Amino acid sequence: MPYLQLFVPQGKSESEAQAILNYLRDNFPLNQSEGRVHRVAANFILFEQPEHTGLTLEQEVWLEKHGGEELARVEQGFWANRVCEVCKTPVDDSPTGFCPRCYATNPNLITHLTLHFQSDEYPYVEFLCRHIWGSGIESPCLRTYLQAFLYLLEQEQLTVKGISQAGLERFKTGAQAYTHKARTTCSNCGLPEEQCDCDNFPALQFSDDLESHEVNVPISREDYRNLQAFAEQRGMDVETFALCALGMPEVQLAAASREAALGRIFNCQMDLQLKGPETKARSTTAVIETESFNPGLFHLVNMCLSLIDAAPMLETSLLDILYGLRREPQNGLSLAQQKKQLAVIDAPVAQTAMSCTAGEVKALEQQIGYALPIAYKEFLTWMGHGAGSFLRYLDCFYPSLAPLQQTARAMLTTDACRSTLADDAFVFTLISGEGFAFIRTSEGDDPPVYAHRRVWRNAPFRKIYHRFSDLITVQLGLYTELRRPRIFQDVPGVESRRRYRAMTPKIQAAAAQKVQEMRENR
Amino acid sequence: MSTRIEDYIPFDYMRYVGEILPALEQATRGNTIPLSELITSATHFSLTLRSKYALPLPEEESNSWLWPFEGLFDASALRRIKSGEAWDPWRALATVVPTLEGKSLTTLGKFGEMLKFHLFATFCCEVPPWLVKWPNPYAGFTSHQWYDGAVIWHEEVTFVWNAYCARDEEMQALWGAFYRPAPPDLMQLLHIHDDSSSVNYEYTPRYMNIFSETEKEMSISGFMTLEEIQHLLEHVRIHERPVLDSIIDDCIRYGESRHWAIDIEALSGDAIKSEDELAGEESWHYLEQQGMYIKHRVVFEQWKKVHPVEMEAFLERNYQMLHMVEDEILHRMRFAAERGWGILIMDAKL
Repeated sequence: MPYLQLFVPQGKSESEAQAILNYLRDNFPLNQSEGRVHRVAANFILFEQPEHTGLTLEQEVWLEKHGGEELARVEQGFWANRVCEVCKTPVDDSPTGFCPRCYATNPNLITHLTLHFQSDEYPYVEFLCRHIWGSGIESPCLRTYLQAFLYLLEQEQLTVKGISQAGLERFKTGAQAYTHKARTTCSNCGLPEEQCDCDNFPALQFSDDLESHEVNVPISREDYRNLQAFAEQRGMDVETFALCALGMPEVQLAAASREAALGRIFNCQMDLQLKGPETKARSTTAVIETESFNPGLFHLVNMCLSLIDAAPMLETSLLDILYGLRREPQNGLSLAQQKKQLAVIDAPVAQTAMSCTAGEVKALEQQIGYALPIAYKEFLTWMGHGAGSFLRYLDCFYPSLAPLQQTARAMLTTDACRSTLADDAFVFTLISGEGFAFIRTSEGDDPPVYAHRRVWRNAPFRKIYHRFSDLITVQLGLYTELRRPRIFQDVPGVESRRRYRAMTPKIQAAAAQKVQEMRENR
Repeated sequence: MSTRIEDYIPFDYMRYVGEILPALEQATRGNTIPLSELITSATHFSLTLRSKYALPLPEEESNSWLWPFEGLFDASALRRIKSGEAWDPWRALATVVPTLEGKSLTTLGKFGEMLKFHLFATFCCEVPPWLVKWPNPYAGFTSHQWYDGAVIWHEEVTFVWNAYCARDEEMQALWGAFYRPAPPDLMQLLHIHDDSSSVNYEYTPRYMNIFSETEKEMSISGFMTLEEIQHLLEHVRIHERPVLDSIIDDCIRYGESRHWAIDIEALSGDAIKSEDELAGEESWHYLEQQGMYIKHRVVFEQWKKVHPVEMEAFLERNYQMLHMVEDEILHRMRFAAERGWGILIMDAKL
């Protein structure tokens, strides 16, 4: 179906844009084309026309009479109804103004901060954003870092005085070392240049003659203003100030931890991964599988390897988490293993864990009107009041838990979300401006975790972990790796292929086991 | 990959200024009769300046032409046409006529300009049968045995042809008429604006304000009047073999592709320069081993001595091509002169 897209000219205020769009919606002629208004976004209106790929004569004449490009700029041959791949909803209607999947932005809500990187830093930025975070481009990943940075500043978990160029220098040094290594190590055999026997070593390495690269990071206008204010307080320009964040372990951990709480563990989007095996088990039609290349498996193996590179501690539990394989609690406790791990990883932090009292747990249950699942109560009685720097970047501790229920529901109302939370939903963490995670009190002792992101318009609530305890395991893995400055490293060449071959059968076995377990459960 | 083409089209500018433009102007004032009558009188249709089709349009091609005209049909008609129903471009363009009222010749709008273009192409332009049939360079890719595209079919040919036309002052003066300011009365009649004071783009005094939706990035960059054509035909020298820089450059590329060596010791000192010493617009050949530059013309002279047969054959091919172009353009000029017409230069993207 052809589409005709009419854009509001640049420089119009939000109210002016709205007035123009309303006028176009009500008056733009569609008789000749038999068209209809398909949708109205923040800065354009989209018409669906059954036959015409461009303006009809009546539309051309009408536009001429109404000011032509002063009124609206015409885009012809619109290729498809652009919707978010995830939520299948027009992205321009996202309450955040930005879709992290297709990168569309609402110009009334979003502005861009331009970050410049030198040619010896940029390969690392690419690697970090594309490989570790799995973003198609750099800007959404850097946006996540900036949002985490702002959150830490606003919550006073970082002080403006504490921001120094040391963070920036640390990032630059690490990035340059990465780039140097990448340029002097053969991407085929993985050996340093002097030991490499590959015929075409130079051709295998990436080259880059550009002096600098710029990345336009989409952030909300409000965030931009706040960032600017903090930068001014610190006496830095906003770009330098923002770049400082990239070398700060607090920002790295906060970004990863907050994203994981909403179901994205670096490049692994749990909501998408969790759909796969369940769909397969339910399938009643035969699926033809061959021994030849399987792109789905290839992607999954590489994603797992990348995730293990980023957070090695997750290696032993990753497939359990992805597939939700059956696991018996230790001594009837869901979080026993995690407790032990934290004590090993960071004993001082483990000792600072402050539990909720039985009375506080009871009071919380009374406030929400339901009994909480056992695993969650274990969490409260382990670290309900916090545990030092572990999970400190999530709003998930007593006594803010009860108010979270209202805040989350208010978020849905404000965003005109099409669904409401179930009565038995218990929101245990909320990421301001982004979304929240919840469990349902009726779904067992160690219940699945669901999340809502404001950009998920069509399917607002998605399962992101099979068990609450999985989320804690993931957070532990991230904490272990990221609480100290970390420059991620690539594994090239032969070693990479060896790991691929080793990981593939493990994943296949886990997938088969999951299917088997699901059949048994039926 | 695309290239720019250039073509020389005989055109009846008197009919354009005496009939087409006045009819359009009348329509902008509310009198649609002359324009409607003109449209009704059409017995053929020109999709581009050099094509002419009898009506109804050939069925096998008409659908591929439909796109620019889509906006003139309503959805149901368009559906029928897409399913194979014949369509008449003049009936479609006639729907534009009533919308012209209140506009001016410079603000006809997209469909108004489209109407103007097809009126101009259909009633004022005609390409005669080719003087000599050219073999189709795309034979094997198309079913046509003989070439029927633009007389200057590639940018490379444009460079050589323009250099040939400017080979000396006399020839430059003759061929330069295309780009000299036209007589003021004719400029006024053709509605050509004097943009000579503009600093935004290169001034082309005879640029005609005619746009095409059917030919990519088409523009009419110049024209000659009947008198200028007659003058040119009377004084032009033909089939000359000047040693043009553009031909030399071609020869150098040809030699390079064959890895011909250059005997540096046989050259005089001033023929070789470092990068800092380069000046002027002359072409220089880069000697990679020495990191120095050598004049193209010097290399050319040396290779002519060392590889006389190949170089002569190469030059001959270049001159043959130039003379073929020259003959065809002069043939079209004679065709125009016989009818009391002018000739225009159009360029477009292929």
